[in-house]
Amino acid sequence: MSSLIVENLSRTYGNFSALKDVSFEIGHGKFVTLLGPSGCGKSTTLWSLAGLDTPTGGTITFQGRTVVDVDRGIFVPPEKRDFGLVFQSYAVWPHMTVRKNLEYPLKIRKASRQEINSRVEEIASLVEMTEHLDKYPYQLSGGQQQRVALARTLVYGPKLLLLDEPLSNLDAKLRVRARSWLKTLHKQLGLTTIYVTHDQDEALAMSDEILVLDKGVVVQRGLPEEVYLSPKTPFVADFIGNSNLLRGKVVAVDANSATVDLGAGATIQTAPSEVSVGESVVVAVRQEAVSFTPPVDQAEYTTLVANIVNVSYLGAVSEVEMTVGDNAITALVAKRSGPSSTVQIYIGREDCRILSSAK
Amino acid sequence: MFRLTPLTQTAVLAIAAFLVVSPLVPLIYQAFLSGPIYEPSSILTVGNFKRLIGMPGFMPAVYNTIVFSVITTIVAQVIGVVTAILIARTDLPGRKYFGGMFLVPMFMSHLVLAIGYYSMFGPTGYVTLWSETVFGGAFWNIYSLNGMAIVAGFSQAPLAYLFCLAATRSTDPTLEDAALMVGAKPMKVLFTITLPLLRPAILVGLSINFVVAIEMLSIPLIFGTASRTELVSTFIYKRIFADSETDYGVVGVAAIILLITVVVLLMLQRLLERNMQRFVVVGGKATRPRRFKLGNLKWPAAIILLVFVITTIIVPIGGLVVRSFTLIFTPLLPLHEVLTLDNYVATFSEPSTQRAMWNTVLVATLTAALGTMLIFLICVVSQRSKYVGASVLTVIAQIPRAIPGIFAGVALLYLVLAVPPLGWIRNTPYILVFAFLTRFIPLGVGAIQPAMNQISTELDKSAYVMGAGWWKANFTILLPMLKPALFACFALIFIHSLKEYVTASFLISPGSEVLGSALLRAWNEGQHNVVASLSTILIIITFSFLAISRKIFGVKIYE
Repeated sequence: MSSLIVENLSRTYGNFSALKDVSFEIGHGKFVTLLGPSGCGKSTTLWSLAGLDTPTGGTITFQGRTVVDVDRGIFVPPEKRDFGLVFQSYAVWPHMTVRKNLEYPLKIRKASRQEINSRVEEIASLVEMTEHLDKYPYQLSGGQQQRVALARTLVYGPKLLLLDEPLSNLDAKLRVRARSWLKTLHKQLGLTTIYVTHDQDEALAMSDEILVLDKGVVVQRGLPEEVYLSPKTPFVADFIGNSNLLRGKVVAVDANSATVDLGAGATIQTAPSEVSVGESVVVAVRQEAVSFTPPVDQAEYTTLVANIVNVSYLGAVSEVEMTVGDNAITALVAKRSGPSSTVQIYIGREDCRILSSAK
Repeated sequence: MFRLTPLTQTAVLAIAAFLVVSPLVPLIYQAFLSGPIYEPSSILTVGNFKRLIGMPGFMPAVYNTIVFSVITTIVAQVIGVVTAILIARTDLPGRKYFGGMFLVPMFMSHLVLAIGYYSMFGPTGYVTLWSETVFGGAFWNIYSLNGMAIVAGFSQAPLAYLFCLAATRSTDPTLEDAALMVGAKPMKVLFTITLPLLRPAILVGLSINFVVAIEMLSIPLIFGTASRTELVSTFIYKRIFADSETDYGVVGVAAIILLITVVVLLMLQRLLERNMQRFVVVGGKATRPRRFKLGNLKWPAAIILLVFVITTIIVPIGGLVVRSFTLIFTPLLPLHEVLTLDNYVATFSEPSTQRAMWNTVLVATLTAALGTMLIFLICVVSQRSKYVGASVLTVIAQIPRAIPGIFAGVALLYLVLAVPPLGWIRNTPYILVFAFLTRFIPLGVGAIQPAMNQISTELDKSAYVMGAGWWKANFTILLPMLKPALFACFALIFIHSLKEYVTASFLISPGSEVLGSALLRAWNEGQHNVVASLSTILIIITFSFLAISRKIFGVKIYE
């Protein structure tokens, strides 16, 4: 059952289109991420859902209730939508204590004093802020403020939870902790959630589904592993997996694979694809799929000779930059490679995907 | 170079200290002397304190001052905050026009404004007489203490407005969005989020307006004299001018009392500001705050504001200008019959007025130019150096805020009287440049320092790394980047020099008149027609300067 239905959502600023006919549906209780680089339209989408931005076209329906229909002149203001939004800046009111911040939405809903107290206690213990209830926001750390912001949004039981890069102001370690904490919380509450981020790790780790946006258009939608393993466009491949994008010409096609000439005499075998011989294509290969150790079943692999350009030590892995023919290939390998300047690399056929467009 | 730097920095400190502290010493010393400071027979005493408190009329004046200041501050603050929100945060029709009009009084001399109010709404004022012929009487009385305070509140409202305006622009709009998201209606957001977040700005405006009210001479002098309502400021003014022999000791004591009051108030403000830390917020994405929709209140609000602007800004100022072209200004005679240039002919034929005009421009230009240079130096030494005296300099630069305008002039007068070698300056306009420089240091610091703090220290540090010395880095990196702030500082000091009348009135002598002091003298002599034409000349100089500086240097003061 679809909970949220967005149809042909558009937003233009003068001549500039921030959103172009974006449509999607989201099932009840799902955790869906809008992923993309800055300026891709993900925040505009979220703000339109929240009612803080006015779309110039399209409709938004939530649980059968139309909140936006530009053609029919329907626009429900944010305070009447009963959604929750956690801001990137947290927007915790600095002139109120944590307790007052949490009470505010309940007072607006004219809850009884007793109910307010019990709800606030309950939500504060959920976000582990009970001991900080009487502090002012400036006395809290970034991570604590972020939890207050979330608690304030959850305290009145919104029907749809919108998260605008809520973890981006936290440091790296805290971010990972907060990520799993948020995910657990979502499982507990089962609240339909839309999460906006430009961080692919966050998106992959937390989402039931990912929508990748680019230049105001949804370019791919799918489960995290689908988006990661089978990107449909060079943009998605580059943005999600830091994939190598190899350019070449198709020289042979059969039921099990295609063969692509990468120039300078190097060819590579890819997963099956509906392309024809002679076509120029882009082959996406994830960095960790490039191996330096010979595989057991060589038939499924392509062996290439690469020239090492640079090796960067990253701790757990090393990043090795190489060239094969006219293409650059980067590999993430566990062991530091030796000083040799040429090396044999092995790439599995199923790890090579021909992308839809090569223009 | 390396050893020269602290030496030159010390020179900046010495100049600032001389300007600020030197007039204070004789003023305080005078308070404890039995006779005038220049009289060798004067002896140390504390009798002046007792004599001041025992003077008939002093305690009532203190009481009146407190009542006056409280009412003035409340009126100014309420009007200022409401208009700032209406103009900056709502869809009020004509808000841009109102925003511009509200700034006009900021550029005007208080004396001119007070005279404008008087000639329109005073007992024989144009509007009062008109109201009597139409309604059979006027329903206002600006002669009373309350009336004076309300008028003073009107004249100070723009200052309160400006403080709130700056604050509404710097608050994070997502704080309001967050309240909308949790279900608060826009009006609820306004009262629970927007207004409380303005608290620091309201408090700062409150304390500054209170200090201004305590020191205010113009309105109490113009309105209070006839109704015999004395405030501390007018009480002192009259002890200096009206009495046949000035009681120097009492004036010194009054100065100290007022000084301490102001210092305590400013310290209180500092203390409150420190507790305001919790209002500082991490900024989010740069989004423009949305405007609250006034709905049905839109037009009524605009009309009320328009009436306010017309009665408190357009009528008093415009009326004064029109008045300057008539000999008798009254609603009983048709205007076209009384129009004349006689006032200007009379004003211009007076050599002292001609001198006053030139002196006004000369003093304003010199003060603004020297002041901008000095204040730039003060700012770099106090904010951008490791100089040992940096923090001392920061404090010194703020001291003039605590010295009421009445005493800034008196103090300098005592200094010149007490130190005979400084006597040559007395009959020249340069004594005013000295006085104004001292007085406007905090003003200029306020214009330059925030702009300087915006410039990352890494920019000048990278110049050091490349081998530039401290002065070299400041003059080649900081100075060019601060150009807009320096122009603004120049313009601000120029305008304030034009506005100044209190400080000047104690220092002028034949040859050093300025328009501000000439105005006050003409008023005291009852030459109301001359007053109107002098005011008009001052208004014309002010707005020509504003137009020129805006056109050529792109300076926008208070915007």
